[in-house]
Amino acid sequence: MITRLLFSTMLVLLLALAGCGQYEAEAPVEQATADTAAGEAEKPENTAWEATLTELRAVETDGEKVPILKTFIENNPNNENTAYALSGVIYYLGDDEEGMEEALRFTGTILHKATDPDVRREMELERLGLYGRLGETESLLTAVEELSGNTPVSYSENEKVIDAALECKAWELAVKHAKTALANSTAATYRTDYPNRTFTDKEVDDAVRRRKASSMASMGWALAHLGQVDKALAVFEEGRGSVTRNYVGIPDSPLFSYWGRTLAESGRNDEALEMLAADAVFGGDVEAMDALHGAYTATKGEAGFEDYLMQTRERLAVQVDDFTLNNYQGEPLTLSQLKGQVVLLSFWFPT
Amino acid sequence: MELPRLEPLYQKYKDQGLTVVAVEAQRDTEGATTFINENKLTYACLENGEDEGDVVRGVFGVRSFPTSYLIDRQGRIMFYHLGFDEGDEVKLEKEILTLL
Repeated sequence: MITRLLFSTMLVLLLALAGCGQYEAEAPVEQATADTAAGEAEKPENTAWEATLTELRAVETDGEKVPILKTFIENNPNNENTAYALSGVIYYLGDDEEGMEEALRFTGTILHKATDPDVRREMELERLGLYGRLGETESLLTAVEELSGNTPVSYSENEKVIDAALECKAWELAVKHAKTALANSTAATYRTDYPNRTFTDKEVDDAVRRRKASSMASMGWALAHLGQVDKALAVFEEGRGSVTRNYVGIPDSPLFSYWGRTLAESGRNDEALEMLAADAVFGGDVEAMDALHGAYTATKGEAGFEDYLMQTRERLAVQVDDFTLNNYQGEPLTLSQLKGQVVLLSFWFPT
Repeated sequence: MELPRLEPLYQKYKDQGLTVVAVEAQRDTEGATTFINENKLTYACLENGEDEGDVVRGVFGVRSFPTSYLIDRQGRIMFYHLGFDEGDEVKLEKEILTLL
């Protein structure tokens, strides 16, 4: 399964790509955003890409988007947006194995055409994810070796290697690269990675914290699968201080989800229930929910799980802050006026 | 796009006590009103405030869109949803039903 971090990264990138426009940069995608911002400052307009975006906006379904992206890639194998477009093809085709195989073949064809070393490297990184999800461990190991052979692997590249490794259970590879990623979780490295950007100290602190949380989550999870459970638990314990939670209380890293699942696997079900709770009950982390169910059943039996979920939510749920905003007729609405009703509160912006 | 798909949910459950509140985060008044009118949205559509009044980022820390919360009758946030894929309205409906 794809980790949440990668998943949210993909969501943000791809929906922006698809012209849905619902997303701004969120924390885990900062790297990608920073790269783009730094790279685009002085470049001439990319008319082929602009035209492609217009075409994408005009269609509705994933099936219609794929050929548009493929045409762009085939006609512009060295464009600065080619790898990004390729990530779109992979995303839209990636629902099943057949689609992923198709995406893999297509990637191979384009790599024969592309000559720009930067574009090629980005596309090779996209291909790692496919190897991971298709379970092609040998191809992944070879590709990572080639990748590391030429140029040092940056933090964000390392993340892609780790995600691919976790996907296909190449645990030793994951540990190795998680160590490198952790070593790159410093303020100095973060600033060096984005030389054209200026960050406040707080932005850097937050980014470093996210890097640590992410690296340690992956490292612990991989160690647990290598049978080094005590070491894994120690890594989770050390990493917990780097995890923050969103407004609702959901951790911004899969660390607690991995931790809870590791505890459940070790039969420490009571502790697992606590670790997994927020990820499982509020946000729809399916694996955390499965593990929570397993840990519940192991400690309390089959009955009463639905009630337990509701009680857990009620125990952990935060009281929403009140606010007053106007509607488009200029009339104010205060959230607390709606108490006693079930409120679906949605934040959006138009394309 | 999420908002039009919330309208049928609102119509179906409003008599049982469901309210939908959509806050447009960017203060794109023209874009928002056009969208609301074109899609005939009948639930509460609000405009985010400026600077100090930026509720979306200032109060909720939301930077990714669409983000949705389900708030129960006691004012507690019981469900969080980021993004909106096909089929998500089914998940949302299931969660709404547990709270109504």
